[in-house]
Amino acid sequence: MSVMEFLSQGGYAYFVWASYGAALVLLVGEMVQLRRTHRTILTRLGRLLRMRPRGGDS
Amino acid sequence: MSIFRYAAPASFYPLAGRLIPWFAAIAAASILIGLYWGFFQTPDQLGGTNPQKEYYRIIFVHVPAAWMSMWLYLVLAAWSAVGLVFNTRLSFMMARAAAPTGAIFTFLALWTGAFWGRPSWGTYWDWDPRLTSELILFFLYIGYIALHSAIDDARRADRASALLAIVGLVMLPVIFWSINCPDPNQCAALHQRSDLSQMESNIFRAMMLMTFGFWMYSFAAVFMRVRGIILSREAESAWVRALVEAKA
Amino acid sequence: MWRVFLCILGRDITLAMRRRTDVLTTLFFFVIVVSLFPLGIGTEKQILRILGPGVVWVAALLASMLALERLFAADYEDGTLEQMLMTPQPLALLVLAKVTAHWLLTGLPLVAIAPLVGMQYHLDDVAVGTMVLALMVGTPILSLLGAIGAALTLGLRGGGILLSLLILPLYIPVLVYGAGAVTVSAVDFADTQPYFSLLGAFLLLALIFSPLAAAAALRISIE
Repeated sequence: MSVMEFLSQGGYAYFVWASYGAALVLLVGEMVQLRRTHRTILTRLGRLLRMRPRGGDS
Repeated sequence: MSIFRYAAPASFYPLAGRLIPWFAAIAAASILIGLYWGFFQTPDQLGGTNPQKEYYRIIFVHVPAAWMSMWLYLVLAAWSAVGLVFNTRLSFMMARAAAPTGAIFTFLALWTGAFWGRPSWGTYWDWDPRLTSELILFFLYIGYIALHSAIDDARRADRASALLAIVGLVMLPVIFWSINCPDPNQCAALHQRSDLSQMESNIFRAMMLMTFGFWMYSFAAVFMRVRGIILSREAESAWVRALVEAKA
Repeated sequence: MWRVFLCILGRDITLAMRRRTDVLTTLFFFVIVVSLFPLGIGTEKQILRILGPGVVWVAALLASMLALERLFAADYEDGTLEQMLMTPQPLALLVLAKVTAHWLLTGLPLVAIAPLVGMQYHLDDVAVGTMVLALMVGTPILSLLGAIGAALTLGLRGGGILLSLLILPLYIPVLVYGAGAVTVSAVDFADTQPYFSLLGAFLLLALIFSPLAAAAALRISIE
């Protein structure tokens, strides 16, 4: 089975790859977005901490 | 000390962090194997009473996404109930963290359903009971997220949206039933059925692998989101400060 | 217990009668929405007769939705609601009284005006009768379910639009069977019986459970 044959999915490439493409975009996109949010939260908290250092012991 | 120790956000945060790579790896592996199986070890046609050509392969993402969308709503409502009954903060956070992933799976199920419907029914959208139910489920997810984000006070947001989730769960069977059978005089005729046992075994195997992969993916995604929620909520606590200082 | 119920009911109705425009606004909203549809989809008798039941029900859903926002808002703003939370009487009963008043003021007028609207859509007498009956059973369910949403969104910015997002999906069963009954009555009135049984069952369940849920929601929103 050639690559082209696989990609064409018996002539239904549009429907099959539109579905799998959406799945890929949504799931990978969610992961990327979650990682980015996590890092944003950490940097924001770090900035807050530096702005308001704990009094006395440092 | 038992597993209840992890009901405290401070101890769940590192645990979730350790578990996420495992869930993600298992998810990636079973999705990849499932895809390989689905594309290369299955016949090019869906047999049975309803023969379909290659486009039936949408099943490997459509059905798992639809199942996960419903499962995650159950998870959301269950954590909401636990939160309301036992007044545990982490439960509300889990419920909140499950909602966006559930909404994404619902959207995915609708999207792939449309692209499956076009070649098999000749239309992108049909008011088929299952598609319609999925659409309503999507609305419920959106309502939950909207209510949660509209309330500034975290405690009220948690509890109010938890109550909404439970009301939604109670109403869901009624809504689904009314969509399934709009005419109570001839209900049985309208009900749509599909039989898993009639499915070709390789197709079934690939579908189950994908479902398992999506399920593990949900764990990873929900844990990642809940970690973010914990950090924002506990920003004032000593352990978060120590953590942030260590990272900086 | 009964006296508390009547007391709140009487109070809410008296208050509303002092500002009658609120009641009329809901009613005219309903009439306007229903009157706009023929302008949009054409005035063909046959089409109107088919679309009529659904349009009337969707308009009723929207109208009762609009009025819901005010269900607890006034009492919340002037602090009455907080006092109600502290009374020894069960909060669910007070909620039920408020919902009943709300339905008498916004739901019942819709039922009363339904025959007029039916005329606009060329519905025959049986269908109009069915519509009145179905609205009579169905609109209290809308008020009861809506009370939960109104309690949850109490005092939030953009509460009204949020409320519709939360509650409209829950209205679907009422819409399906309410409109279905009217459609079926055009063929054979005897066939509408299961529809009314279902609507009646929904009403009973909503009467029992939604005051409790709304009371819980009020406590969450106010504490």
